Amino acid sequence: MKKICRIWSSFKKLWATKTFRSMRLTFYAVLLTVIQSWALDGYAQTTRLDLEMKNSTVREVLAEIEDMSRFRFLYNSKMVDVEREVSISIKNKTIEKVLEKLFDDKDVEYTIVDRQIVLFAKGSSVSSSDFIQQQPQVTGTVTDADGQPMPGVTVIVKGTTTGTITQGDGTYQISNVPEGATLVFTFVGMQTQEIPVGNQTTINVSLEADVIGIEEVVAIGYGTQKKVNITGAVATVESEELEKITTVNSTQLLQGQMAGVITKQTSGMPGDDNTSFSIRGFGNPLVLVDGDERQLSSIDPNVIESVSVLKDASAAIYGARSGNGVILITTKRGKFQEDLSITYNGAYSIQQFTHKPNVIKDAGTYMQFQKEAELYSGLTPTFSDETIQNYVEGAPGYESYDWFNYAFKNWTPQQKHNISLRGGGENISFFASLGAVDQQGVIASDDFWYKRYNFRSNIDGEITDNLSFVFDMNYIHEHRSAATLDDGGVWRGVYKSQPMARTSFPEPYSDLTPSSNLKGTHQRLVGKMFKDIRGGTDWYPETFNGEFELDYKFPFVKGLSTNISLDYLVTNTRRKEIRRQFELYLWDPELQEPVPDGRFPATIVNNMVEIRQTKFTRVKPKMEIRFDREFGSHSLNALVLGEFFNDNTNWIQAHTENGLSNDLLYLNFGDKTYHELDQSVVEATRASIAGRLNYGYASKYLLEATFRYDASSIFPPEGRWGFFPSVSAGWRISEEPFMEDVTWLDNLKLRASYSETGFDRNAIRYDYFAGYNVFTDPLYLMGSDSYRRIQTGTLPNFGMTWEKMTNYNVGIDLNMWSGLLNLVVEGFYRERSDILATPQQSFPSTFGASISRRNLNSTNDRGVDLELSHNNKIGDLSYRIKGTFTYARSKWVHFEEEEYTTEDEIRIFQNSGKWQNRRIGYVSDGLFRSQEEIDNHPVDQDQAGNVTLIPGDIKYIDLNDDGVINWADQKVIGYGTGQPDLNFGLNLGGTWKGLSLDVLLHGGSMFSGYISGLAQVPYNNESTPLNIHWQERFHPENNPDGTLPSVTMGTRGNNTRNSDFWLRSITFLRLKNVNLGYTLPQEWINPIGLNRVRAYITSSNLYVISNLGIWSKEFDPESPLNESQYPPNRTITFGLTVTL
Amino acid sequence: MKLKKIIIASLAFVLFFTSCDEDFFDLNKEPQDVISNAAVFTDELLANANLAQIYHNTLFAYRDVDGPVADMLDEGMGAVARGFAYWQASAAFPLEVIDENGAGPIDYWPYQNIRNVNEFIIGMQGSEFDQDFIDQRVAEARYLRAHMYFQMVRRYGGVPILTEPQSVDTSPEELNVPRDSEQAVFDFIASELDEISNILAEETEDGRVNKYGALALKSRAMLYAASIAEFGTVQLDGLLGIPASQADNYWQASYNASLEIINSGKYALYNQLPDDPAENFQQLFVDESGNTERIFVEVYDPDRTKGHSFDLGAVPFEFRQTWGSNFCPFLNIVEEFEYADGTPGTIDRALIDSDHLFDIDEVFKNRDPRFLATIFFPESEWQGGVVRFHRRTVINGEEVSSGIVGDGWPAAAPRRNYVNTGFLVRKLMDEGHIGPLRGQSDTDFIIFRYGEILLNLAEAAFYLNKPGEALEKVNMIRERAGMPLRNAVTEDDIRHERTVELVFEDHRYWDLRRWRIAEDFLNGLRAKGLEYTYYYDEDKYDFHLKNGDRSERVFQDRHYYLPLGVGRLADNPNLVENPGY
Repeated sequence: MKKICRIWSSFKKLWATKTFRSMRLTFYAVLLTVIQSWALDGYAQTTRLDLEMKNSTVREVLAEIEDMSRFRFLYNSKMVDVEREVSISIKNKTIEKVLEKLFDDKDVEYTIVDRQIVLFAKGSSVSSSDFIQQQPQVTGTVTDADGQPMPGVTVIVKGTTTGTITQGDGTYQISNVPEGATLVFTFVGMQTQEIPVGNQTTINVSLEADVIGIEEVVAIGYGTQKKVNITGAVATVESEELEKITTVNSTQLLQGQMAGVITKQTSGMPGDDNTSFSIRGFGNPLVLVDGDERQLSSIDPNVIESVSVLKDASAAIYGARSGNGVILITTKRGKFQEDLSITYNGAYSIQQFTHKPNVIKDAGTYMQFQKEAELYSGLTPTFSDETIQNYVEGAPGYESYDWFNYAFKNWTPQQKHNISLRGGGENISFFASLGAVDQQGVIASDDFWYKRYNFRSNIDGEITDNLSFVFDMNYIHEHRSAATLDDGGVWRGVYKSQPMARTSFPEPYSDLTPSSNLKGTHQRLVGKMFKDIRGGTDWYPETFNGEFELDYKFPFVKGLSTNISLDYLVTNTRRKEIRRQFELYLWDPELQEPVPDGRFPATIVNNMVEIRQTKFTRVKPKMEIRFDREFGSHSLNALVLGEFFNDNTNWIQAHTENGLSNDLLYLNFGDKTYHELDQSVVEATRASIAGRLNYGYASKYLLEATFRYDASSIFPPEGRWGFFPSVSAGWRISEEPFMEDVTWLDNLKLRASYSETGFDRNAIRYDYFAGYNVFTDPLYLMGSDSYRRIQTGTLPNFGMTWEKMTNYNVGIDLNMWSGLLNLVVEGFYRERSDILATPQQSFPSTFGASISRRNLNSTNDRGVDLELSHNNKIGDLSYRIKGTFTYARSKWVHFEEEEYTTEDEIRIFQNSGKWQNRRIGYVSDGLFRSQEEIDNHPVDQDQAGNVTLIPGDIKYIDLNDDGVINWADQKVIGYGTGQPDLNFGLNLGGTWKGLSLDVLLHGGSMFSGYISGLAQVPYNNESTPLNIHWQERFHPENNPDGTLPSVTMGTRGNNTRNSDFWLRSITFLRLKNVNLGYTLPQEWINPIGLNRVRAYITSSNLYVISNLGIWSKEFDPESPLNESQYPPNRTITFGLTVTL
Repeated sequence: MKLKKIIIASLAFVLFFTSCDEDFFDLNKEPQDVISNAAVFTDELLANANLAQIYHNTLFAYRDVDGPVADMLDEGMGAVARGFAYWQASAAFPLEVIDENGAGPIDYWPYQNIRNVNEFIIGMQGSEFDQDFIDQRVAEARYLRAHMYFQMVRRYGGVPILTEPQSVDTSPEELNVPRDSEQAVFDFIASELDEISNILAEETEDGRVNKYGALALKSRAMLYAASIAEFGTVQLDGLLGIPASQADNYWQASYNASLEIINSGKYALYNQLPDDPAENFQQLFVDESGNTERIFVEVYDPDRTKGHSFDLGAVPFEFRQTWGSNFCPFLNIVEEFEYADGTPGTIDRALIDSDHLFDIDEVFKNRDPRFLATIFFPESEWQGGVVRFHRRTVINGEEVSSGIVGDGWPAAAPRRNYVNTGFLVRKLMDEGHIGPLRGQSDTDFIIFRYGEILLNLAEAAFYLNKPGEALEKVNMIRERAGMPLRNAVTEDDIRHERTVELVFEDHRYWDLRRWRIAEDFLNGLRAKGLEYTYYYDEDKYDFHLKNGDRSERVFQDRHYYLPLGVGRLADNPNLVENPGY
């Protein structure tokens, strides 16, 4: 109950905030605009047509009208003679006049329902008079599987031309339905449904997605394409699937969803919880939102319509940036003639750590353990038995303090709200969205959090039939806050706090800040957790972009159009860091009061303010010419475009110290002596010309070729332009005549692609430009003059260029038994060359300058990704199962390194010719469990006759049997600690009436975690050990069965060798997301004016299983296995979506 | 109507693109945070800034490295004093082992900065600046290059002499330059300094080298060359060493350079406080106005971003800002200082080993006044207070090591004062330096001073058989120091005077090497310190000898020439490594 109250009050608070006030205002303003646009005249009255056709069939004329306007004809060719030849010449006439002329005295009648024109034979069972008057009338609502109303669905009486289209709320009304008729509901991308009318007057229909996706259109580079015609490797996810995942950061949407996408979420830090992702393990892909490069992490998932991942030649049209693949995000847009819908989407989440390292929390154990470690190291115990006993018993004045609970909360809230409006009038449509996010951190100081407000407006308009425009605007305001200790720092601080140190002092000293560590130099946890004690950092990134686009269809050449656009982007990131002077206190048990901790007096540093601001602007004009036409069975689609990027990065830094007071931390109050300023400006431009040609024959033989010329100012003029071609082909075997009898096979397509692409993000900008860099601190002093200093950089590098990739891909698309089984399999191979590396063969040291990095290294990558899905419907239950699997592995072809000569060196050190994802180290064989075992050990492990070894040390295997453990005894002991080479996802979804359940599992394998830092060495650098160290450490008497090395004070070189003792090859399976939703029945909500109400509970990162063994309680398998982590959060979200 | 509007709108849209400034579509952008080569040599300000960077990158002495440990590197190598950080306990600062991997912390191979000099000279000579400006700045750059070669030749012997920047297109054979001989490097330094001392101005602002700075370097460098010839051996077919027959030439060259400075009359020994030689000696390094002893200095001023933290690190713990008690002289250098009457400063080991109680006034205060200004010892006075070093106090026959005993006397000094050698460095410190800006000091570091020139001349004169002149110069130094004058000088006397006068000024280690006595002195040495127990009732101290070094030092014959290191040999097959590595 308490929790609900808290949720409600925080919601009220949010509602009262300025942002929400302005959100409401914006809402009204947008509403007014929309109403105005609906007040325009009907389409049929205002639209004027020009038509000039000789000896054409009526069918062709109607098709031509459909092409040049938005009219759509419905007719039954058995009843209306459309093969009749006519000649027609019309100028500036309404459709009514055109039809009059076309069907002059013929026994054809028509009725115009806005843009729908129904043609029927005079005197047929549906005469024009019947059409209006005859009963019965059927009404109803068409929804999708989730109960979302579907506008634009065509409803036709089977065998007739009587029909209509559903409205924005999904409702339809059809008159003149003859007895015994059947209604046919059709919509692009959905399975057609036929329902006998009988004597019903209300027929509500729920359409299922067309599993084959014959008509499905997906986003590709600079356009869209029907899925069946795609010849490259393109994976997509639609908004319906994405909205089941409630996340603040859109990078997390990609986990487990698509074959070929490899992800790893290493952190749950608010505002910095980016999931690293790559396509097929290739490295950072290019991310485009509506065609323009954007930061995926700051995109509100609510505005995303679909995500396309271009994995092979399909990305090549992006040229020098596309080598690692491209992720295309398309945002939602309105449709013409769509009723206004207003959707509110709210979610309230509680978050907690998925994993908590359990440091020893009771001082008695801590001291006993330390005593054991000290005795084992031959040292005198620091704590007397009496003190230890007092702490064990918790005698007065000998209490333990739980720093973990002090530093972290059990759970913390997160909330997201979004209102979007969507609709369209005659010639204007829009999508507008306003979102707000408030994510709190689990760190107890309340100073770690992230907020985001975003606004987007996507407007499409038609100026004439041939000329239309797009006007999009997007604004994102973010604010991230952190105290002086970063995320990992708080963890480290907890590790380095001791249970004997007080977390706070009693009255009247409660204002004083305690030291958290009694021994070393890491006593500042408390102070540094809190902004108002030590200070902290705030980031304020702001993004604005606007795009204006004009699209013109040339009236005289059918299929030819042009599009010009201008895109403007500005991101402005301000970072403000403040530091305050603060003082720490230690509890003096004798005085029974806190005394200043002399190790770090307040005066050691000044207070400080530092502001850094990076402003990036990009202006990007673009022009496209398109040609899209079908000639009989031949279809042709061509595109040529030119675009230009003009980028400017302006970085400014200002710094001051010794401000007037600890509370006036602004630059203007700083001490002039400490003022520091710095700036850097970088301009860059890029010019590109690209093109694409698609040819298809009878949707059976498909061919696509693309090219791109790219030039970037960051490269030297001589080698600035690059050419990036691609070609791909597809063969839809299922369309061949000889396959006609194979009815269970809906679609079978074979694909192959080849492309040459590039990647220039790793290149060093302007490396060819020899110039002097400026140094200011310190100045060089001569007399009273102070000189800034300048010096040449490295040698000008005229050879610097982009990395080059050659990609091969083969794929099979298979759809069987009407959706019961769908399979996409891709196999790929990529050669990557010209990766930057520092040359081994450098100039002699006397040359006095070093050569900068050159394009030297090369790799090859190979792998397989596949997606297998099953969709079915049994009665009211429809369900789907989708599995994705990705395997990718990369090998060094050439790695710039010294020439290794001996076999061992080649085996251990050489990278060329070896897998990238591997780790070299020693092989362990458990622990030495007695001195006797050490004495009898035949191998000289420490190269000193084993005299330095003690029982409880790790034993290493002498791989080459030379009696000594040295570097040559290393081998590949596992995978690297980067991204997993193997990724898999399982997406289960089902709906039953209004209920829906979606489950997403995500897993990874073929990567490693290395237990390191304080998790590896207890009592290292004043750290507090983990419980697991206490339970599992070996000690000859106290714990002879322990599995971890014996604990001593400080680090033992023998045990910290890079070995498989600490390396864990990880396989994990995570219950990534569970979503349980309920859509309220229409009959409940329609009366109160709502179209759709859906309530849901989602949990992400609910559970994970991994093979981390004894460490699985301490660490999340995707995070680093040491104290520098901030594990991903587990969240439980309560959400509500309301559409009116 | 509508069509017209559309055409106008489209036109406006297209115009919007094309009317952007021409730069918009330009692919030839330049990075705006670097300065183009061409610009540097058309603007005097930029040329000066380039030269300032060359000054900045030139190693004058280890003290100019900002950081308390690095500050005393050379002194540590020469077993004069050591830098310790407070957490490093008694002996954590590692004794660097110098082996085939290179010279470790004292490695110096500034070919990048030499390239900067060579490029600067070409740039200046091709410029259209005022000829005098060109001449002066080029001469300064050549001076700095000579200074860098001097730093190298005293480490490695002969090194490749490069006076022009090599082109990227140079063939590998030409790129892989061989070493020039040690003698050739010394000769190059001499001829460069001869030429530029005739170009450089007689007087310049502090921090900018002038004619006498160039002569001072010549005076020092030729002293080294002469020593190599006199005491060293020729090795590696003449790559190392100078034939003994040529020693006199170099003694003479040094002598001449020193004499030219002396005869110019522009410099004199600092003697503002003749009645208080100790304070005078302290002020010599601190007084920066009209100080006649300073020939070439590196200027520091934290108000103008350049400060150093020598005071911050050196100050005794009782007077610290944050750091302190960081530089600990060894007993062997303490004992180099004579008693005030001129008797040798050694303390009888037998007395130390016995229960003898020492009177501080007798054993320390009664020494060469320079000692009082060079080293903190128990009960040194500083900033109106007292510096303490005792580890414990015996009062009423009882040993006490914490709290206050008797008349406000702490039973033990701060741990950091006694934990190492029981002495701290005082020389170069500014007693008026209280509450430094960011812990930074503004005391300039003196690279060449008149005192050194007199001692250089004394040494050269001695070997040139002019003992009278040698005696005269040594006595000038002793007179200013407030010490009894000598009647005659031996080689040992000259070396002793040099050690005492120039200690902690980046000479001792290099002097031991060039005199070829480093092996005798350093090898197997485990430098000592003292631990004090204060006897309160007697107001005296019991001394106890302790190890100041963690282990015995290693200085083998091969260490007279430092190794170039395997890395440099690997990338240039024409380089020959020094013997023994």
